[in-house]
Amino acid sequence: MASLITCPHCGVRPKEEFTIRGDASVTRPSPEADGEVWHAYVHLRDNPRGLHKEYWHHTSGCRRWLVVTRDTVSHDVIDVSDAGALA
Amino acid sequence: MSAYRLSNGGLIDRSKPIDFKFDGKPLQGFAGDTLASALLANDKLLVGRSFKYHRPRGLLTAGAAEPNALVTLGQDGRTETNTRATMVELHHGLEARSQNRWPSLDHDIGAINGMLSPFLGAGFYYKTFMWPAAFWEKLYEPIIRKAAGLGRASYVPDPDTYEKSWAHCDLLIIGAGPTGLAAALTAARSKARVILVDEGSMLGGSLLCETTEINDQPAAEFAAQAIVELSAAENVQILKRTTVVGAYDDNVFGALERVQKHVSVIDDNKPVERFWRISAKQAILATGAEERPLVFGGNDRPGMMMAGAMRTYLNRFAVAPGKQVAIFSNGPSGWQTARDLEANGVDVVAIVTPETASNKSYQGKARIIANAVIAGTSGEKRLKGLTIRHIGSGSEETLACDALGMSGGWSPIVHLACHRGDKPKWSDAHAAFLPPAPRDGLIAAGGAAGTYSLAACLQDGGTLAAEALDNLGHSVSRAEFSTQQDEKAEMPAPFWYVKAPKGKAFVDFQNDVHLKDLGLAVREGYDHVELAKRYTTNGMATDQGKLSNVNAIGILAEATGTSPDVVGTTTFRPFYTPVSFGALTGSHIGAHFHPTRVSPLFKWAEKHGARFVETGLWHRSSWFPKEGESDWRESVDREAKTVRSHAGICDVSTLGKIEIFGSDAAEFINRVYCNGFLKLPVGKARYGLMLREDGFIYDDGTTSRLGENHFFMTTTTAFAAGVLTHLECCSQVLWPDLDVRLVSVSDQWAQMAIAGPNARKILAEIVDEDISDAAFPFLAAREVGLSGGQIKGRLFRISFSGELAFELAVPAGYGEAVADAILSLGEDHGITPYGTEALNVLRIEKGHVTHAEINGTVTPGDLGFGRMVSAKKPDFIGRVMLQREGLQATDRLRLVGIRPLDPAESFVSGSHILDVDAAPTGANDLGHVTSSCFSPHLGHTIGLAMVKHGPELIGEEIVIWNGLKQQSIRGVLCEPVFVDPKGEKLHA
Amino acid sequence: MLEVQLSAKPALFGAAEGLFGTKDASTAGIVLTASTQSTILQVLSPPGATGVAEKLQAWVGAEGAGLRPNGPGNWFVVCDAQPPRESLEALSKTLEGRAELLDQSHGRTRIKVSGPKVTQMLAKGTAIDLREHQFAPGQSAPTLFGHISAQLTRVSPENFEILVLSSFALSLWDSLIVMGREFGIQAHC
Ligand SMILES: [Zn+2]
Repeated sequence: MASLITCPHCGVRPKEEFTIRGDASVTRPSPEADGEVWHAYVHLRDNPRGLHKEYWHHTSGCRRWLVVTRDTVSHDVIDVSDAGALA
Repeated sequence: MSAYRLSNGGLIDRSKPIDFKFDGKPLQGFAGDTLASALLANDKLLVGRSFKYHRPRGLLTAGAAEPNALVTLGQDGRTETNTRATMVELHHGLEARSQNRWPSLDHDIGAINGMLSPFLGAGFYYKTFMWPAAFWEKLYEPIIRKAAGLGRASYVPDPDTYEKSWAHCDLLIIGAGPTGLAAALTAARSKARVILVDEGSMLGGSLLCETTEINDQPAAEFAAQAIVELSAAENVQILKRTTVVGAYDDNVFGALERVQKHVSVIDDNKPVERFWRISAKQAILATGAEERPLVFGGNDRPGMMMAGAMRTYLNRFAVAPGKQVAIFSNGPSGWQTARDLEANGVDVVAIVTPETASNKSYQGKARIIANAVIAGTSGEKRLKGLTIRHIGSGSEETLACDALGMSGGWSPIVHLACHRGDKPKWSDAHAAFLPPAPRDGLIAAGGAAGTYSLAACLQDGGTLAAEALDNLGHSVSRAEFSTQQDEKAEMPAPFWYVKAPKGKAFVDFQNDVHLKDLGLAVREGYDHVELAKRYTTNGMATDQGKLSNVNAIGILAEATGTSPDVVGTTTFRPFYTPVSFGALTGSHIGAHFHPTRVSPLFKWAEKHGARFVETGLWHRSSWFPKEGESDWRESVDREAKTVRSHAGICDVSTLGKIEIFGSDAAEFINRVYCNGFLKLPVGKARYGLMLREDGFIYDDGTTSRLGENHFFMTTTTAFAAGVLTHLECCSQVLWPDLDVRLVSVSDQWAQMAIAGPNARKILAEIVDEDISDAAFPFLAAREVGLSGGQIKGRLFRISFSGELAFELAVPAGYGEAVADAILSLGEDHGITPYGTEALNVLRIEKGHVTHAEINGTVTPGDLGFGRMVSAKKPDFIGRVMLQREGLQATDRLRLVGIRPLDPAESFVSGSHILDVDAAPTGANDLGHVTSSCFSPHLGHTIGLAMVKHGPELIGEEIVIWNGLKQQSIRGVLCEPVFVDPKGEKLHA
Repeated sequence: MLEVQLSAKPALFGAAEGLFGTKDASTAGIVLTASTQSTILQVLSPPGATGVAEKLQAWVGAEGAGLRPNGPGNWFVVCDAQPPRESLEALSKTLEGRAELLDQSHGRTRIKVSGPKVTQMLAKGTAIDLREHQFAPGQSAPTLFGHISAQLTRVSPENFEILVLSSFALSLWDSLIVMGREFGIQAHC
């Protein structure tokens, strides 16, 4: 786990300022989608070794949801971007 | 007598004597002493008893790795156990007590373990106490813990304060020995921000006990001058008495500063310890190297210590370790020690070395016994003599001595470089594990990198600092130092242990692991380094094997016929040295354990005599006792009855309040609630149920439309933060295309419920607008003026109590004034303040749910809200998953009311529901009571319950079973609304 | 209708005051002041809206107020006293269609922290690097302070402002006094 996250809006902050929601690679299915698709979206998660995209909320900062791409082995943070694609 | 204080020399101040006590005995040392050096100067060789065998032990080191000299300091709440005497600065009034002995250090009954030792080998616990299993917890463990204890902690609270702090720098230098000082002196020339950290009270590391010169100054003087220079540099911050204990991702380091552990009188304005989190762009690990003990029979007698430690006591503290000192050394360290001892007039009786040749540069008087080892030793509480074995002939001879300095070579202190999971690498050339490759700008230098000569360390520190600064864009030239080149320090092949030792040959001194234990582990198949560690407990004591791990690896390598490279190391984890819980907790204890949130109506409630209850971070007013009321129930009954008969006012400010704006605000709210909101008219409130995506209810509350594109949502107190975060996720992640903005206004508003038949009459006196039923009907929500337009508030006609009720929100600062005005205006109308307890009674009487029912496993249908769920909306959170078969089944636990058959009987929440005559088994369980209270309105206990087929069983008699109280009473399931089922009062 | 005079009490009403860790005010390394008369406005704009920051900057410049960016499209405007009604109306007008304006004067509490030891003390609470070239006068950021979220602003080298949810103000105030004791702290509210 990284100690410091560079928020695209706030700069370098300690991980304590953030709340982690989990896998950001899943996309909310359409309401018409099959039950199995919804089941996968709600319940099934990979636990990848290596690169992983997660939603992090800058709870004690700008309160924006971010997508953090990090390496679960080396703990390197490769990218942090705004989940709503705000610059 | 053997150890004694030299009459001159050293870095102690003989003009400042210091009185202290050891095991109650008054002793004296000098300013500049550690507890260890002062004990040694007083010839206190015996300082502790070992963990398992209770063997007499003396000082083994002069530093952080000390495994033997663990003492207890302080009294009561300041009791500190397992403190290394080598790390304690001597100060006036210091009282130290030895540990792990009874009744005294000299006469320890536990020493009988030593005689039982054949039965106490590796894996002993696992083998001996296997059977019967039940005996472990009750019999074996307590006995073992008592016998094999370390110091005893106090149960009295610690009166001192601790704190945490952040620090930021460009370059962190860990260790202020020759390498660290050279690095710091170089970095001081730049504009970069530098932090230099050292665990000692006096900076200089090994320079403090070196006899060579740097820049034509004695090493210690050079160090002192360097510190003066660095202290004057604006860009350098020095943290002394500070140990970097952990290296974490992104070059964040944890460091423990002992702010007031060396003072006689503690200043309570300051913390005693401070835990630093240091964020560094680059870091130089200048932690030096640890000398390895030699493993031979009886290598643990008081009087024996590391050769380097002997030099420290001699040169820095001016203490001679004995009168007739022997040396056992593989490599140059012992020879240097012999030279220094002789220079101070101490007799060196022999230098024993397994190497075949003598050290060429040694010119002293000691007898040199090369190609030999020490097979055994004699003496109980102090060393008396050695048995020396000549390797070639196998012949043995004895030699009298009162101290022994040993050296098995050096191990770089690589811990911090390995905390992030990187492994050190074995080097045959260095006969040591070297740090892993540099990572993220953390680089080892000097001794920590396997560089042992002073000149090379000075050069390495300067060079690496210059390089690190260069990486950061600060160019500086390396600081240069002149020093005499040491003799070429070639490390001989490691000498792991003496074969066929006479007596126990200890590897891990603190955990009493000896050579045979490791042999046994290998024979029994636990030869993997991580298994051997756990099987023998080698390296698992509070010193974490600082002295023992590398020797154990070497021994395992020999036993398995491989090399240390193949055996590898165990995992290095923070902390490098023990950290007190106080420092980790910082200032977050007692009242500051977590922040407290104060409702704007807290002081109002306090003024009116409220009792408070902690809910989350809040203190909520729970009831308001009146004079003469002795029991909380009496007050709560009165409050609830008064609300139903007259009126009451209650603080509901702790509800979460979220302001929602935007042209898509209505659409957004429509998607986050399961019921419809698109058509909510302006000026109206509506109850909303918020689901999770899996179809279960997450939270509930009311949302009011204050304008076409402006809403005001309330959440429950407990889920206020969670709901805001959830909504932010919905708006930012799921639907960033919706034009919606939301912000918490929880703290802007003081909110109060005014409920009861007289509520309107009372409010009409302070609200400027017409609030008659016609003008302000049920679920109206509007901005209003108060007291002739003095302030503006928001009025909602919503009710949790089932009475004619309003919630009034006013700017927080006005809360107390408005609530007081309402109380005084309502006096003639019989108003009472009421708290969360009465609120709970009122809502149970009306069958309104809270998180007691909404516990994450219930659906809208379970609570009778099935028809609220919109069938028309194309999408909302939870829509699809709510349709799952299991969530629609009729045998789910569903909400009903419950009452005792005999009104004189009562029950509590958590009780289970059973069929009459059914045995209380899991299979027969029909459900449970979720909420219960005494209803003053009905005069008996009532409850809400989640019961299988609940609504279909209304009217049925059941059993309410309480397994904790072994209580079982008859009850009846009923409609969950006990008062005013038609809602006439609500709409009055 | 009864005549009732309604007056407001700030969140820090009755908070601890005086000298802590020193007996002499002139030696206090930290001065803690509650700014209880402030008007605090929150501005929310849609991500796409342009020119909001510039308009706010112009208004606070003219008004002698402060601007505290709280996140994308989110600002606090802080004024030491209630700005004139016309001026507020003008602000509201220039933001119309671009941003919403909310009164948070009661929802947030402003605490001023100053003194020669101020950065040393604040480092006990926040992980923001407070060295002047990293966090210069005028800079403002939302951060975690101890266990409490707050908006931290450097007004001048030795003057900071903390904007905190009012329900946390007392808790934060007490923590600040604990953190400041070693430097000597003077608190008034
Ligand atoms: Zn941020």
